[in-house]
Amino acid sequence: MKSILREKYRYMKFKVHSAKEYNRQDFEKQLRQALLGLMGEIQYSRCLPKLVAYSGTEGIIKILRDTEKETRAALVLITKFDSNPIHLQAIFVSGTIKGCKGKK
Amino acid sequence: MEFTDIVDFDFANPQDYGFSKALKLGRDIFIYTTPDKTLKSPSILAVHDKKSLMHNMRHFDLIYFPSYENDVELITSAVKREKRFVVSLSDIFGKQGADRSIVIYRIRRFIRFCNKYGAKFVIASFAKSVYGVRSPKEVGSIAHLLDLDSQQAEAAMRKL
Repeated sequence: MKSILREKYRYMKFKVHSAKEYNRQDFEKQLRQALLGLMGEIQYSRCLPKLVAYSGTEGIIKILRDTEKETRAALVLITKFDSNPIHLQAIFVSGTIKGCKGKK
Repeated sequence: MEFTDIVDFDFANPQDYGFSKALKLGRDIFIYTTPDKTLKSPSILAVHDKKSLMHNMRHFDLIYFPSYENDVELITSAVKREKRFVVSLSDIFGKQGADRSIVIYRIRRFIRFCNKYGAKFVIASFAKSVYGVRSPKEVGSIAHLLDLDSQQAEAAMRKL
């Protein structure tokens, strides 16, 4: 595919502050629901967030380029997964997964 | 840059969130609904009633108007007395769905009014636990929802 047609992504690293620990599958499901609820279907389709890495205390989501601001705002507004309080703190945005790793 | 937050729990490490200090309600900062003879400073007046707020605001350092109603008289009176309004982030984070959208709208409209009439305001989290605290940078990222740019939002957290 010509490079001009290829979608460009950004990788956003975030810290997870939560009393409850989630496994990757549950976390991904809850995160998707929360982001969809906050962004709405239209904005969600523009950002297309996808969890690419999760360790329990940190994670990385892949989003389409130029939607960092919206995704960051949505992450700030996430306060609960089910009824458990949670805080997702975006810490770094990079063009590659490798670039995110090691950042604190 | 030094940032301060107002919280409602013992916040052990505000530095982890980018704050130089956190004022605990009832210990470092005091919230009142009416003027008290034993008024401690710094103090916040938190009243739903506009008349009572206007009548008593002179005794307090900060004013918290939970309904965020737009009232020119109230805002100009606060400007005249050099009082600052408090915008509580827990009003946003404590709600979900449509209720949250309505609160964001009300706060945005209130801030727009404050900017128009030159009223000063501070942003604080009033968090009841560490999960309700947001760093100044994070608040900057939701600033556009409140009709502010990130610098203005961060400045509102610095002024405390």
